[in-house]
Amino acid sequence: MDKRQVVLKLSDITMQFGGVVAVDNLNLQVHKNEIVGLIGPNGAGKTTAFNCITGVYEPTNGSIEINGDVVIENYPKGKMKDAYKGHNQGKYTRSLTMLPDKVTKLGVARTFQNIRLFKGMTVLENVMVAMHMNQTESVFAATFRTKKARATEEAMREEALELLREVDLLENKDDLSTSLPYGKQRHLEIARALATHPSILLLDEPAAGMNPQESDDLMRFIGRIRDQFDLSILMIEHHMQVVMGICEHIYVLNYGGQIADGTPEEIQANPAVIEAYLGGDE
Amino acid sequence: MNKNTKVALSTICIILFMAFVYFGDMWIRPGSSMKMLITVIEKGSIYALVAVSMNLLNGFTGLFSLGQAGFMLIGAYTYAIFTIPAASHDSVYQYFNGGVIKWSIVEILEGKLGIVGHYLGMFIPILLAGLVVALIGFLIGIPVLRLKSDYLAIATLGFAEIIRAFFQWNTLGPVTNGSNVLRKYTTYKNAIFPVLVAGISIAILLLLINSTYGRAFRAIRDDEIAAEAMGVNLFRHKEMSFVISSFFAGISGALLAMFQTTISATPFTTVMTYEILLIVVIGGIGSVTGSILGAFLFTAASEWWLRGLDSGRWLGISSDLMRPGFRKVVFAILIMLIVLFYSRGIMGDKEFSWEGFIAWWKRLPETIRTWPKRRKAARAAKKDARDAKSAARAREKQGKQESADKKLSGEALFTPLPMADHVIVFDKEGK
Repeated sequence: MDKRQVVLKLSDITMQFGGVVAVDNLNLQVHKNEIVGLIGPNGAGKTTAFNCITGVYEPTNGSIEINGDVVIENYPKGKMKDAYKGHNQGKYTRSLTMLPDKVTKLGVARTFQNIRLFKGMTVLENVMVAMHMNQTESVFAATFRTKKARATEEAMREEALELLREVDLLENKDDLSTSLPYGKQRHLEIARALATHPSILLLDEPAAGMNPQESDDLMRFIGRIRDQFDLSILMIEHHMQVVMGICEHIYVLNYGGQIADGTPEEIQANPAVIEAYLGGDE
Repeated sequence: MNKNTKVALSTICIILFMAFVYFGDMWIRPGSSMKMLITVIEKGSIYALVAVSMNLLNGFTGLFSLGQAGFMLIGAYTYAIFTIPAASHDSVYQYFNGGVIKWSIVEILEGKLGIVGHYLGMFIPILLAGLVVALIGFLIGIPVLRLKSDYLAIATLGFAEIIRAFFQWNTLGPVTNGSNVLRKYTTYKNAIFPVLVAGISIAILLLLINSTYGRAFRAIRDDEIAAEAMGVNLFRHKEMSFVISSFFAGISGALLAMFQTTISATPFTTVMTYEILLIVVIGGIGSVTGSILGAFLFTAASEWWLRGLDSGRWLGISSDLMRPGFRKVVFAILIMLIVLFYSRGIMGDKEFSWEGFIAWWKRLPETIRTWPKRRKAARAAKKDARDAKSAARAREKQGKQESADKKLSGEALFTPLPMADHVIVFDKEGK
């Protein structure tokens, strides 16, 4: 069993939209400096799980711990009380919610499946937006350019440039973010997420649309930033090559439910997983 | 071109412009067209300020808000109410026993500080106008900013109309003079005053837009979900943008009150909001210089260049068509043309820069010289497209004819598509 500290823990997370259970009773743990994969066929509820962690959705039931503190917890209430189809009803009695920006402040940064860069802004500005929340200047100080505000701005710029150097985008810093080629946009999204000073990084299909060579580079890149920025990473990915090559632990979802978890070797040998991916005998 | 030259050029231009406005307003006799230019600059600068404040919401924060006229109204009233001289209260508030506020900030400060007090007494009510509007904007923002896009537009529009009705309410007469006009309040003496105040306000807005908060606003405009995921508190920043925009709308309202010398709630209708929106759209959503340019062009066109259309004679042409109101018809057509051919506004989302201006200036003769050529090319391209279209239509007709013939002669209409063998390869990755 892993002795490292648990930084992200999902307990009995269920997300029900109307009558559809998108995520059913997901239990997941990410240890410090671990790279965890979340895989499953399309529509399995992987991105929904991400949205629950980052506060975009309020889970119907279950709790989420970040760095040892329960920050999100909910139980079926109101209309959902009778309509609830998941497990563990009654286990949770508190309702704690958190807006996405607060979750980000706690050190959970994410990227998006369909790249969401700020279109009207340059590459450098995209990264600097993510540093906005860590600056303490008031809007007056920032507007009237007090000495301290100028120093903060300069520090932000320096750090953003440093980050862009890390992800190999320094020569593109003044380009519009949308003018970058696809692979570089992915890198920029990761750089932007890193700019929020996260301890946990959630990557939603970072290798989507990449060729084998590019995904190989991406694998090395993810490993490198994990070590360099002291991150724990949870990633959704369809490229089995990437997942099997980089993840230490893998969770498999199908139809919202968790069908397996274990090391890449265990997952590859797991009959339930093979059935979910390739279809079982009828 | 280095930074110092650019700063020097801008400073020289601003000083020349200010000097022109100041001395122009002092020396040029009323009635001449140069005087008209000064008036246009005066009113244009006021509209520029409110347009930039609206652009902060619509163009930089992505909030489609239509409450600007209502906010201007509150600003105008706040300024007017606190600056009506004590002696004039009885005549202004003649239906309300002289009103409840029997003093004027200007007079109080002037009595204590002389001429300095006079100007201070004008600046304080202007600032107060901004602050009152900011407070009201803050309160309105709490419920309204939870709405998105069109819903937000309708809600803000509604609030603006409510504000207008509220200020005309007779019960509030002792303060707002009900539906009667407020007049005799202190105004500026030289056109430089609104130009200066608006200029400083726009400069502050520009500084804000280029600060880290401005970046957060633009992030919200580009992608709310991503902005939130990057730690930008949506509500806090939207509210901030709304309040700041309201503040400057209030200041421009105060300036408008001074410009008009009398103020009533009647003209602050939705039409006024649309005028401001028009300026923003013509100038370019997301461009401060565009809004300023748009404001001056709009004011010049509606107050000066197209005036003759209402009075029967314009550019030496006289016609029976040119009756009062015809100006608006022509204006509407002009706006349609602008929207058709400059669909992103004059400036798009770009800002003025000396490099851009010089490049444009150098290109200008070339652009004009090659205009007929480009026109010809465009026409040829259009003709080609037309020809291609008619050829395609002819082919289609012919094809139809052929198939009809075939049908008549009993030939098969469809030939079956060749079937490819479907090959499914399961490759287990990662092994």
